[in-house]
Amino acid sequence: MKSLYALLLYLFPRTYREEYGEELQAVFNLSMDDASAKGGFEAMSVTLRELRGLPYAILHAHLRERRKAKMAGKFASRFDFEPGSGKETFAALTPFLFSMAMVLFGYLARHWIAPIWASIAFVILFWSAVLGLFLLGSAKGLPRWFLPYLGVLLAIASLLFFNFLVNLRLDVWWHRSSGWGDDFNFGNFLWIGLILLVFLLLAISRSVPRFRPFYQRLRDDWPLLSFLLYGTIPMILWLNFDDYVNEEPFFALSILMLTLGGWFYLRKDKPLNRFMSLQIGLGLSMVTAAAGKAALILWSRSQELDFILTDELVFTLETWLWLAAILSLPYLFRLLPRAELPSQTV
Amino acid sequence: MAYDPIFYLPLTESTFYILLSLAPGRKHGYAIMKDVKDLSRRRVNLSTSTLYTAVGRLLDQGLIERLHDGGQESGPGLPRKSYELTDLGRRVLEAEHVRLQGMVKEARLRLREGGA
Repeated sequence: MKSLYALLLYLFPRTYREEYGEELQAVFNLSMDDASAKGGFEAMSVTLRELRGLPYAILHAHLRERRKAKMAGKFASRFDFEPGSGKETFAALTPFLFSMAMVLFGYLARHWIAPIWASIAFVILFWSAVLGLFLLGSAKGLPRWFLPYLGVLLAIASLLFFNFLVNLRLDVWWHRSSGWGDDFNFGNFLWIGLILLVFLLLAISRSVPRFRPFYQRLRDDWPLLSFLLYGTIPMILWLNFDDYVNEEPFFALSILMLTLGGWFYLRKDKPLNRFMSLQIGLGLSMVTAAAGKAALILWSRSQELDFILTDELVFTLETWLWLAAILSLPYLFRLLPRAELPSQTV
Repeated sequence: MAYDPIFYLPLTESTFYILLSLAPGRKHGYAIMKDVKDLSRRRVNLSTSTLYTAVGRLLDQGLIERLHDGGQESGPGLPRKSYELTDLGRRVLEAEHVRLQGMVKEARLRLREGGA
């Protein structure tokens, strides 16, 4: 029987056999020796038990090996970027760099009529790269470089949520029913939507077992969530601009400031330094946006110069404050108590 | 990385008994197998391959660790490797203990109410 068991062990994958084969055989031999000493019935019972357990164990071992091979495969290891490496930095900053490239490309295309094939090729390249990296990041278990991509997704979801509310004419309802008139900027719902989505993301990652390791990473390293939220900013900047002729160079410069903030974030070790890198990147970006808009308004020689200038600067400042507050949310998240165990009751 | 033990709950019966078997100290595979059978009053009768499937999973989860000697029970014919609870494994076991205690207490109260 022991020899038969040794033969059956060959049904396990080779690596599994090398790891556990000797132990499996030794434990089986001891079980059989003990059972045989107790009599034929016991030996038969142990033999049946062992044979019954084998098919599932063999299948499980093969699946485990396949999973391991998949994870350690060439394709996967090529994208296991070392934290702080150039590859990780490039992958993490791609959403910012691409946003910047898109803005500049749009600007150049307006002044220099690009051939249609160049525009099509650029758009295809852009979306293929973003989609490819997005799928790769999802498959790789949401590594750090992938978080700004999730931020882009969060910004899109927040905009959809905001548009949904606008389509419901909640702004009209708000002004009529609250009596607050224009004191409450309905645009604030965009930020409230974003905050709600952050909580939804945390709740989902906390409660779905598959995403719990991700939730745990966010708890262990709180600036990760700030970095995720940092990915929402290019799209919010796009909302912040979007009005003026020749705004693109300032828009691109604002995104460049964000990219620099992200670059420093990826190179700092201490959580507070990383968080501050993001806040400084945001600050520089918003100052650039405000300065750019002020320059554009002054150049336009508008009739309502003072009014527009004040309005735009207040709007930019408001956006900055909201974003700075949203980026700081993870710090509060850090203060929340860890999942408590049920109290000792007996 | 310090994971919350609560993420691993509830434990299956065999996992609970394997961890419980390792609570007093390190053991090799055969000792775990016999202990699980005794602890469960012969209800959980693991085969060798089922035990090592569970052991592999617990190693992957970081709840136990493998030591390359048989510990105090090493001897001829005995496996040369033994297993020990990790700090996380111990915390998971304690968390499961508390969870089960809570359930027993609730059941006791309700049954008492029903019987009154």
